[in-house]
Amino acid sequence: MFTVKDLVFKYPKNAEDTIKGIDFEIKQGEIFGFLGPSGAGKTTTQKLLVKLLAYDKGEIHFDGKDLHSFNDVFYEDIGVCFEMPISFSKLTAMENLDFFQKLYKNHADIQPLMERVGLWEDRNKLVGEYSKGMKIRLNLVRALLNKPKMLFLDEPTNGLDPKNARIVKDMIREFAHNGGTVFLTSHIMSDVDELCDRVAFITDGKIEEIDSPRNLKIKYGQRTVTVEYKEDNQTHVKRFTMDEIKTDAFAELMRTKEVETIHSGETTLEEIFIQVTGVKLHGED
Amino acid sequence: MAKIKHLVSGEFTRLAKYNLFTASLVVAMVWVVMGYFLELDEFKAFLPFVFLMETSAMTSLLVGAEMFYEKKEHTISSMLISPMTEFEYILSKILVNILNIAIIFVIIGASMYFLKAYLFNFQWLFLGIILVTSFYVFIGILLSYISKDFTALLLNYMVMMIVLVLPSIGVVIGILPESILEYIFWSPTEVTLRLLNASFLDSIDIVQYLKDAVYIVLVSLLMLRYGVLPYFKDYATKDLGV
Ligand SMILES: Nc1ncnc2c1ncn2[C@@H]1O[C@H](COP(=O)(O)OP(=O)(O)OP(=O)(O)O)[C@@H](O)[C@H]1O
Ligand SMILES: [Mg+2]
Repeated sequence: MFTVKDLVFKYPKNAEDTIKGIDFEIKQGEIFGFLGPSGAGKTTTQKLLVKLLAYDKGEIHFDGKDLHSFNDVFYEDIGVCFEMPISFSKLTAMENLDFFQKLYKNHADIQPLMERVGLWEDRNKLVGEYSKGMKIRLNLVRALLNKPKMLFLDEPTNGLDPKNARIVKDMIREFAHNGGTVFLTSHIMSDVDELCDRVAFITDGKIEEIDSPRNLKIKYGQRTVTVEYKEDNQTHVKRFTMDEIKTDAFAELMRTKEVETIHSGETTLEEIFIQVTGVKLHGED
Repeated sequence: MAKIKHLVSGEFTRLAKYNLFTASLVVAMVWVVMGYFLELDEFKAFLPFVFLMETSAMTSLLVGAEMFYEKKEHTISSMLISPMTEFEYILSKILVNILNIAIIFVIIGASMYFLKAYLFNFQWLFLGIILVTSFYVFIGILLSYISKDFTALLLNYMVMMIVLVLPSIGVVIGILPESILEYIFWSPTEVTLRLLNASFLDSIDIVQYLKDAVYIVLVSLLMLRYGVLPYFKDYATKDLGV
């Protein structure tokens, strides 16, 4: 869907490049997570991909064609869900959706979308009277108005209660399941873990890692087994590497001691995030 | 074309819902009330002031206020990621403001007709409005580019008024000597006055009218090309954490 090659970008006012030559690919039908610390360049990358910023070094291809060669027809195929509310506050939700939808050729059915995110009842309320979570859910409907092939989501579950976050995540998954492609940035690692087929970590304008969450966990995981057992009325802890569990010591412990818990030391995406990005703070390499 | 129509009607709805249209109607009412109390000749002498205030001051203030709201509510970005060009967006702003001023002038014109049995020449008036509105829409857009917040917008607006509008107004209402006219002959507000005054003067200097028309259109095009369009995306997306 998108191919990015050696992309470099500098804000005119800044001395240093913000994006320092990144390469990645977003495949059709996948949910691609873009992660990194604050200020790493996630938003900038997303703005470059949706043509809100112009680049001149490097290449971006959409559907096999140079992004520069698209005019505003490009937007017929994409939906962008911004992190902040983006509706006219003195218009109702329906008036907002109606205004934006008529800018497109393809029209999604609004009612089922609004019902799904639980806003159909409040469709004739002024958006100014919506709560933050309601505005965020309305953003998702706005992004889906034109039946896009590709969705850009920025922190899609930020500010939502667990029930609505669940609904939004289900909708994202279904969108991808039906052939849609998703580019997602989030700071909520459990969401990313749950949703994304592949993730990229960006630090200080450079991509450090791209892989599936599973492969990353194997790569960065400690691959240990921790056993808690009781002996002399006290709880003891013993840690084994994956090689050590094949030894007799492990079998012996299992056989002879009163085992309380066994945990495999699987790394969370959060720990990987800190390992990949956290050690390198801005400016010090 | 359908898209432009949709943009214009959306824009006009918002002008109404955000009470900006009401604000400009209230100002129009002030002129009507004035017309009621003044003699016809007095009011005719006063008309250029009304014309200029409406086309220049009101238009750039309305555009500035609209852009301020659109930026604050990030709807401008939402429009930018739709199949709509920046030019279409700007064109719809121009058309809405032409429409708005036309409505205001029809109200003033109708009240003049009923109160004083005086009819001004609407063809010339509308032609004038069409020629000059873009310029003040662009002024409004440029003012919002350089203003960080609403207070700054109002301050910059004041400066613009003092530099651009006040000299012409000063001459019209007699607080500045007519001798300064030779220095401000090509000031856009003077050009605007000459173009709009054609709607109630008995004779029109056609050559000067054509020069003025070409001049204001050229200046507007240059502003569009070198001021408005190049910085539009920058302005619209600056503090947008996508
Ligand atoms: N309009 C701008 N002009 C100049 N510099 C900018 C502009 N926008 C962002 N930057 C700089 O570019 C860098 C990357 O910013 P960006 O917004 O892409 O970060 P991010 O990864 O999205 O961070 P966050 O997680 O906080 O949203 C930052 O150092 C920021 O200061
Ligand atoms: Mg960001």
